[in-house]
Amino acid sequence: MDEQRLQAYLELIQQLLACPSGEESAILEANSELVDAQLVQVMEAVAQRMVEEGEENGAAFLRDVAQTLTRGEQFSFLMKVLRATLESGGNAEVVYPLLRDNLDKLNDRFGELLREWATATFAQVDPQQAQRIVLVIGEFSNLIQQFPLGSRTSNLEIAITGYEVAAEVFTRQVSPEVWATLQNNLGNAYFYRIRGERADNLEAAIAAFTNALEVRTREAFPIDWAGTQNNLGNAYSERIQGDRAENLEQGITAYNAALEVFTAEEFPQVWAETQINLGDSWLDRFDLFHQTEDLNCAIEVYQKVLDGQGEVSSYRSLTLYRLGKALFQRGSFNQAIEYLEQARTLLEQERDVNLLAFTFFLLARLYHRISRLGKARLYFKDALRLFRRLGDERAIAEALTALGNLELQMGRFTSASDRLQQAKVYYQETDKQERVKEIDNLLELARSKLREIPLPQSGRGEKIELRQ
Amino acid sequence: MSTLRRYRSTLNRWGITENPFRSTPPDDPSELARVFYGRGQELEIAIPTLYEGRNVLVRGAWGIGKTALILTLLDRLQTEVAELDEQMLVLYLDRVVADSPNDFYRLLLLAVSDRLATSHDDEEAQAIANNLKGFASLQSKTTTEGKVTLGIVSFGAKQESPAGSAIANPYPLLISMLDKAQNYYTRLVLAVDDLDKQDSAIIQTILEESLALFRQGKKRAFLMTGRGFTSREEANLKALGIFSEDLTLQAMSQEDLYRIAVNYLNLVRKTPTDDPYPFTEEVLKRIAEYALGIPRQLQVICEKVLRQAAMEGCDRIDETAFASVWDTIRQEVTYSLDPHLLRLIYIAYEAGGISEDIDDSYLEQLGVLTFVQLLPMLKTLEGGDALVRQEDESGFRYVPSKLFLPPSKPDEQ
Repeated sequence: MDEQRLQAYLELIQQLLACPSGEESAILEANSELVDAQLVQVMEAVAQRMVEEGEENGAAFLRDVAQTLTRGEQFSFLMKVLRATLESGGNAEVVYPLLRDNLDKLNDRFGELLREWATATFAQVDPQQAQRIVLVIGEFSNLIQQFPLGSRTSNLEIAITGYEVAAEVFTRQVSPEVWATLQNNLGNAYFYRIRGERADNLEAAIAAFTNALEVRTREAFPIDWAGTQNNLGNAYSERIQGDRAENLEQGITAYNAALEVFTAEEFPQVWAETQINLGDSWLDRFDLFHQTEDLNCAIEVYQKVLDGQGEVSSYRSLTLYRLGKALFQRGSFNQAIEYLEQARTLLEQERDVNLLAFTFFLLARLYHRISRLGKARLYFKDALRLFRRLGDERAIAEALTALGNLELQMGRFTSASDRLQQAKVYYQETDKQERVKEIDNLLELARSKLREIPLPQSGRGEKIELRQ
Repeated sequence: MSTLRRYRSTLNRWGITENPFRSTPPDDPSELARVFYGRGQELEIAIPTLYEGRNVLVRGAWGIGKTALILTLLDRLQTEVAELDEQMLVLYLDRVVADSPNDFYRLLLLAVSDRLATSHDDEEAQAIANNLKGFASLQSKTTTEGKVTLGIVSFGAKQESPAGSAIANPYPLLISMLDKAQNYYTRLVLAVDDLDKQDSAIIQTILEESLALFRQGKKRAFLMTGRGFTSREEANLKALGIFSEDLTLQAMSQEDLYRIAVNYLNLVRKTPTDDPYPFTEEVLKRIAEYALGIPRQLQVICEKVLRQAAMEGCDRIDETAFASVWDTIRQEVTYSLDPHLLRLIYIAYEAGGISEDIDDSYLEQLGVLTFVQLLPMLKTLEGGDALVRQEDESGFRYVPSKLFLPPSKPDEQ
């Protein structure tokens, strides 16, 4: 902001503060070239200073004006976005750049504004027109739900508001098909929702998907039915309320239903996605009941995805990872290594740091299990490197503990103590007393081993104690 | 004068018949005996251990001299056992390429049965050898001293789809052939070199699944090399109880390397001396220092320096001549390397060696995310003598061969 413009803003603010009540709009209109986001910022700064100087009333007045201006600006942006959505037929390539350039406006107030405007408008227009408007709102909600930039929390809230507003017009009686689509999309928004209690959101998602399925039957709309079944499977498999086993069962049933329609031949991509979801549910079931059959089911499913995937490679690394994990849990260590090494190579090419980090960690644990200690150590160190890069504190602590444990076994007591000590700090800070106790035992072991070794190793052991 | 003429005339002036330095040890046992130096303790331990029929593992970095040690060891074993007037069959197996324990057994079986077929006209052995010839080709060279036969066996490339059955279950036959060999020879030593050039996971599997083979039989010993397990942590092999002795070859001292270089020069002189000529003492000492403790590095550097100096017609390779020759060689070596690999060498210079603790920023520069991702490239460069693997308490580290110019130099040019 240059000095001259700042001066102009300050003069305008002075004018507003001094003018008789009711003349503000006229002054702003006369200075419309100065009315922008920066003016709002300067107003906020001036208001802040006025508060500090005890001029509460003046500050409150300025903030009122600023808020009105902001809403005005946000409102015109809302109109612009809806128009762009309408004109482009919901084309992300048109709408996303617009959103990207106005990230500051995509907040909770934007959702409120959308609701207020829609409610007021629906009262004034005929039902057909209201429906046309709602279709645009629905399209926009789909777009904002998938929008990768800005605050994901706010984007999802805006989408939820959009679907709710739309469902007021497109009731089940008015148009069951559109209503069902809105319910399905609302369910997805709730499934991913960040705000609110996760358990409640999942209940809302399940309710919405169940609503959708009342209309989207297999006979009438097989593809939509299968899509919603998959979504319902996702919600059940993560459900917090109710009996975990039953929820998983419901999830598996829903995925299997989806797969009746989503065949590998007709829908290779969706088929692979749903199969992976199904495999994950079997893995979750194994975690619950420790039945090898569940693991075998998971392995079979992942294997099927790998075999059937052909050139569809977007899920290959993920499937390889999951398959390796399942094989590890089953105790098929060498096979697990084989698949995870394949996943590793792919993920390195894809530069997927997150999944790569976990792949390294699993491989390290596997090499440890089969007594390839040197290799295990290198893999743990790289897993640690990647977790640090991701800033994943919990995973860092886990990798440090596993590496410390391994180094104890390898006779690298000093280094082991160092790592365990670092992990202990994290577990203390997060109040994981059991882990702290476990680590204390390992540290004691390291200390006793260090005492058996003559200097200089024991000297370093003492230095470690001081850090406690 | 043509380059070659000048080269020849310089060699003549230096009193040597050819450039004696090469990166693999001499095949001829008598030549090897003349150049081999050091490793006295290892020989002292390994000879009686093998004689007793117990297994020995020889570990060490690339180019550290494992093959030279093994060939020397087997040669001395042959001589010493012959002096005792005892029977023994010693087989040195080179280029053993096996992806599975069964492949490994087939190659051993081929080597042993081929030997028995040749030496004792054993029909069963001949039939087995014939059956396995489609699986791998083999070249062998034998020497006999007293009642001791030493066979040097080198395997050729395996056929993609071996003709015939190639013996589906070779293990029982192998055991029976080994027993038969001992009927003929009493004592048996099988030295498997180069197995370690493969993925160490495969070797680990082979060893783990062959416990019975390694533990079975008296007066029957295996000698294996293990670059794959240079890391001390892989010493869990010890826990398998396969090896009675686990010899780790350490980097050699500069004095020993100096001595080896003189021994090589003596191979091509009319009269052996202790003189480093055509090198001056200072220059040969410096080369021994540049070899970073690795005999193969010494050979590679000496070979290049001697050739270049001979081509330039130097009277002696003194400090001045060396400076110029060395600069030419380094430029050639540095700029002939693939830019991607050269980048890695430069990073190795900058980072003071590449180790498992290498900083993320260096990995970023190399376009990788992890140290493990770099390992295949590091091993390739180690195999090409461009990097030297050094090991200490904290682990191992790859440092650039002195043959490469540090990164600052090319920037100045």
